Amino acid sequence: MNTLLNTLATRLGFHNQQPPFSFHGGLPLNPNKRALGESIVEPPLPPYLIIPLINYAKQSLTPTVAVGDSVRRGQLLAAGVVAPTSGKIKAIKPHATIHPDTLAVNAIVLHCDGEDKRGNPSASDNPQELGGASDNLSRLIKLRSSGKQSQMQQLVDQFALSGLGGAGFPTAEKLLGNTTPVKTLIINAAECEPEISCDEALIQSDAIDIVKGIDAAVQLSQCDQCIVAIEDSKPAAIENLQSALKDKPTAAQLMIIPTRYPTGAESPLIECVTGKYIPHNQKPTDHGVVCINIATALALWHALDNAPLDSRVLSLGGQSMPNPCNVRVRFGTTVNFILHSTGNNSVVNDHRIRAGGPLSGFDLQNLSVPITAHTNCILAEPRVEITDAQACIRCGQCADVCPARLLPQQLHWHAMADDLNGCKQFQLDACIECGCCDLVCPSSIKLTETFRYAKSQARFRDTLELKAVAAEQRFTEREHRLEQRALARKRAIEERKKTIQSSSEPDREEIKAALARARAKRQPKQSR
Amino acid sequence: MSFVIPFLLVVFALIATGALLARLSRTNTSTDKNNTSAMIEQVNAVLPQTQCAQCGYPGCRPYASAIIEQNEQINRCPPGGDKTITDLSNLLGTPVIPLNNECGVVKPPLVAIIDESVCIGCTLCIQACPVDAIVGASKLMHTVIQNECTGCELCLPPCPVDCIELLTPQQTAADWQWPRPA
Repeated sequence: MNTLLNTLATRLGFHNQQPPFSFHGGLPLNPNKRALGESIVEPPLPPYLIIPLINYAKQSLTPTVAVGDSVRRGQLLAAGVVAPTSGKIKAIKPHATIHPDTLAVNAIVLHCDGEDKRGNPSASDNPQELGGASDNLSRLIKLRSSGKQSQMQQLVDQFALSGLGGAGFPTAEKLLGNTTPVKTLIINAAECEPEISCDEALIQSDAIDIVKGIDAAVQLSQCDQCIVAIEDSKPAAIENLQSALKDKPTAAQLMIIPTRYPTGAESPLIECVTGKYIPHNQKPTDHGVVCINIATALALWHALDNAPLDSRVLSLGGQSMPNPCNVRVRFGTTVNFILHSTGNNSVVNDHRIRAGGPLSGFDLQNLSVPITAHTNCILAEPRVEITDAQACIRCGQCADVCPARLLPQQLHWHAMADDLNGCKQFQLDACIECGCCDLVCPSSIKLTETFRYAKSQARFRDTLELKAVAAEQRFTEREHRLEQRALARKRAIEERKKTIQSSSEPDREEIKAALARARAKRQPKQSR
Repeated sequence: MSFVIPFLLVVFALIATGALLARLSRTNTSTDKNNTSAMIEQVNAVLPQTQCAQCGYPGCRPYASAIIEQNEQINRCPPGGDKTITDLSNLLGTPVIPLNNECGVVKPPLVAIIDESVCIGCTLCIQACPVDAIVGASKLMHTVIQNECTGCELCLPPCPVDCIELLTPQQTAADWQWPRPA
């Protein structure tokens, strides 16, 4: 009924007139935050960590350390990657990662020495540079206002900050790299997906530092207003944030938004907070909106305080998890180790282990894969028979719940027919893979799976096309260069001919004499 | 005298029509030329840009010109395979015909790799590469820029020490694709 009313309201254009605004589609889901407990569990350091050398754009990174090197916690291993603890680099080789197909990428295997010694050897040479958090913040702001981009970048690189929400976009770029001024900074504390409660747990334990981080983000982004958006189903977290915000005067305001999946995704959240729907082919920054996760704000504060981002809190949940909890783990800890060290080892063999939420995640085939900045959740679910999909009956419920305002039933035909142009026409790129359409489909069609497939196909086709264009350009340029070279050679020959013809009689005599000498020299050689 | 004026008028009218026709025909030929080059451009866009010359022409654009200007068959592109033939037949309104096996066979995408320990630095492959994807200097080791290599195999025959191999490119995270749902 609620869905129906909401849909009706959106269709008729009755939006809420003041914030929080409503967004198109979505579903009220049972939050089911099993993992939320009294405190965050801190498992021991694992014997080794595996750090994949890949960035958020899936480009491989070049390591700045070699096998055999001893590293300290916080030392740079590659651009934007720091050592999560101290130890020795044992190997740099391809290793399986958290990936639907357990794809192997080049990774650093770091054997932990257990001492967890912090500090960058190069930075400790001049300790006066290693100021406190507020010093670093004011230094960054000064560098920014004086336009010293490269120095600012150097400082920011050491933070190793990446978004902790899900996509892992480099946070510093969001806050500092804007060409258009930031009007609204949104701190995303919505955490809308069922089972995931790592941000909520952080707010309950660390609200004061979080508010410091939010304040730093406000100062760095130079925004006009800052809104901390949190779902109304988290009363304890709201109370904590409210009191922390009262203690530290900042420009940030708390906005309590309705609990409706997927408010925590970027575009529905922006629509909810500002009332503006940002089309998929535009960036929020084009509209002066920047959105960062609340855990990232805390990470920013720690990074300013000389503790680069090297760990995260993640939720262990799901129907079959015997001991659901939120754990703080270093990047590179394997899923297997996390499950064993939290007393959840019984699920390893006969359950479905999922990385990411129940809707947006995927099943893992291999558990010795390392967690990264964007692994927010590990679920254990019973193995169930997958119900066979029935034919689409064109009920249109998927279109009603789609937060990206797409027509999933239409897209489904195009995707299954491998009609990528049709998919493009119906704006498949805008799909945020939230899984709402799967939940409501009465024929249990796996729509999101189909869209993921078609999206990756389209991406692959685009890269092939780009490659073809580049090859064509290189071919034409080479042809042009060869032509020019042939022309230049022809011209040079003609020029020489002309000079020889125009040369005077004595010159010619000289040439003849030289030729004769050369011939004479060659003669004995040939006869030998 | 009175019959001279209409006569002159007719003459003028004829001259004017002639001039107009001449101009029209000239614009016609230029639009024809424009059409031809636009068609070549469209055909070229369909071709895979491997620049392998297996079609018998020195590259994709020359083959595109031959298709438009000399009525060359559309089935001479092995790297493009059936997809290119279908696309070309859709574009040109000609029937789909099977690939001409004299030109070559369809292969999975490949990239060239130089065994750097064997390379003697003769520069012959550099000269053969149609897309400038090989770097190196005389008597110094050469290497293939993997991202730019189209897998055309033109570097294989000139190599005097047979140190170039064609391999299927390693799958990276960036071009991994979700499996097709059942």
